[in-house]
Amino acid sequence: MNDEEAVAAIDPLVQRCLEGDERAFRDLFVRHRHDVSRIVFRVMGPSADLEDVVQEVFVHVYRSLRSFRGDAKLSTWLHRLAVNVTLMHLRRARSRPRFADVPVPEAPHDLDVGSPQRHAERAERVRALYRALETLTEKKRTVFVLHDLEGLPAKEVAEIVGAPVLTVRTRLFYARREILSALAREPSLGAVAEELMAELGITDDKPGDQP
Amino acid sequence: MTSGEVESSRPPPPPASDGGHGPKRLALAALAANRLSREGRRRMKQHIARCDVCRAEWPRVKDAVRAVREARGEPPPLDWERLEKTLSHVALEESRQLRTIRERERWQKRLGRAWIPVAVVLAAAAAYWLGLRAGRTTEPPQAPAPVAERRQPDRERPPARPVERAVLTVRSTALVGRVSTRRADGSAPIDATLASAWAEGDAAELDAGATWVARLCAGEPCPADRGGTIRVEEGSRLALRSIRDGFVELGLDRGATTVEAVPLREGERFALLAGNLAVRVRGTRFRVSIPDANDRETVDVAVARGVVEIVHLPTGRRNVLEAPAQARFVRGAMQDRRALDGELEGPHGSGATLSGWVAVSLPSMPRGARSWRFADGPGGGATGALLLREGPATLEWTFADGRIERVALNVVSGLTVEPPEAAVTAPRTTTASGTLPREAISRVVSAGVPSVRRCYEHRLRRRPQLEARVVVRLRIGVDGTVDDARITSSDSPPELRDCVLPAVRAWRFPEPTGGPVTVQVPMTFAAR
Repeated sequence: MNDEEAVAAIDPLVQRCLEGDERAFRDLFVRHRHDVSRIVFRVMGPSADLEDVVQEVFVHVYRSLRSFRGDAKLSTWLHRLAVNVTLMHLRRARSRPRFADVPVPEAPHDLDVGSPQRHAERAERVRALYRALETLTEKKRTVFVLHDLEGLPAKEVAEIVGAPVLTVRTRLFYARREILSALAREPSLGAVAEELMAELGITDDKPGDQP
Repeated sequence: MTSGEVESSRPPPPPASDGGHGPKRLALAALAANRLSREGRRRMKQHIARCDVCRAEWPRVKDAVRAVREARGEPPPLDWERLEKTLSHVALEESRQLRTIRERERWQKRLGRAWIPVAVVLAAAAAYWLGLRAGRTTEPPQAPAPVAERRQPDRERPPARPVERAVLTVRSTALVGRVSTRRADGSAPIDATLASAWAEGDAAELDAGATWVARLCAGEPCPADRGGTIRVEEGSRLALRSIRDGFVELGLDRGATTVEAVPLREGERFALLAGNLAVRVRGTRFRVSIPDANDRETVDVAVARGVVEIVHLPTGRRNVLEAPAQARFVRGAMQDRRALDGELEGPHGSGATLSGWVAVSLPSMPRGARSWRFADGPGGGATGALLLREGPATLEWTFADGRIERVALNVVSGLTVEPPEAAVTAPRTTTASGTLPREAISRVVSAGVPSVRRCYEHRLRRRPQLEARVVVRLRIGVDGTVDDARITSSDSPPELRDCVLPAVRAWRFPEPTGGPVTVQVPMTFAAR
């Protein structure tokens, strides 16, 4: 489905919402809840607050629908709102005490995870990444998450953050550089350094396998 | 990281012969994420084999790239049922509101503009009825002073005329000389010194040497953040050509008029028709003049702020003039365009001086005072702004018990006359030539920054992208208080300016020596 078709398919739903059709709000929620939850999850990382933030995003969506003029794709508008609400939540969270004993929901084990030890290492790596993301400015964090984690093209990221594509690429460049330097200082990474050194260019290192 | 455009478009780093550099993490990450070309991969691997620094960093970078890949996992399943239930309350509330809005819009559409004449007729009937009841008991309006500006109470406003479709509220804020007005329908002339409602075709003509400043606003009520201010210069003739849907068209038949339109609301426009030229404006200060009353095809336009669109009505030819610039338009063609020489005076003039006359502000009356008058000058019972000749003057307050207090003034630009304290008997004199050490000024300004910043932060909640630059000119009186503060340059919303000025007026400086001191304080507001 190309962009125009997507807009044409979504518009009637927004129209129904604007007419005051209560069921249309529910349909909007059902249709977009997975997209919204994925964006929120990727911006904030593993967190016990995921469900609350998703709810907050939809409250904002419902209340801001009347200002949605249709000049952007609905998905772009939703992305923008989801990112902004999540960043707002993170900002608030920084000034609140943290509770270490809240169970953190983890992503389903959809990747090839072997032993429990590997699973623990993987979880630790992701947590380390989000610690590194914490050190970025919001602008760089947003661009990195949308482009590198969510896999959106730079053009779409530019529309979401309201900046030129070149600016997005510049932010992405610096975000990657800062994340790599932050992760280089992360003690949880490189624990298997020797093992990986052995892999370098010889065993399962895919880039090296290709001539 | 992903197959992003950033790294893939970069050439791989040249192979280094030694480790004389920091770790090339981005290049290593590109290798780990399989984003390099075959040649790039080969050279990178060669480099790693030779470079101790990059070899030592490689496992960590590889781990980092793996972490990014792993973070792309799907979110855990959420309790959608609970979320749906919670959100249904919000949906219900929102859909009710939207239905109400829709319903209202439908009714408005059906009624069209039918309500306007109905409302005007009802208002006229109410005014007539009230006039019958109270007309004999109200005092007759005072004769207009030769040089005066009043904020007249509403009861003195002429009653609305039932024939009007839409009105332009015109409030005089300053007048020098004589302005004669006439109604399009030939009814009693408008009193230009009062607030009045203008209808299409109503016109004003200024005598030689006269200047008239007035605030305009489409419809009633007319809040401070709407409308515009005009200054009509001597010998001009200005008429209200049309007003509909918030679009005001004024026609300048001869002379010159300066327009200062405050940021207008959506759908509200000002246009000044000069000869065959329409000059349209949004949030701009500009002056339009017809240099030769017999040549309606030659019009001069100067723009001090913002952008105006100039349309030659017979041909539809359009030009855009962006501040600061001035140009002459002959039959719609822009000629002799150049930068504006100096600051274009606003409706109240530069520093509130209108050719030797100075606007003096009387914000309030002292407790118990009944009236004020200037010795050998205008007097009255209302407060507000009025124009006085520059130089020494004596203001008298008359109290209910017959007591009279006098305040000696040296009338200078932008003077505000505070009511005298009951105990004060010594005359208060002001001049404009004092001194105050720069450090003392900086100290007070620095201490006052938080109060101004609060204004900005308050607006920031509504407009997160708000950035603004404001230059405030303030006059420090002989007692160290700010006796006048005004914005001389600003690209900020009016509500920010309205908040900044009272904050600045509350600043207290050390007493200057030798008289009042005027300083300019530039402020830049930007969110981090």
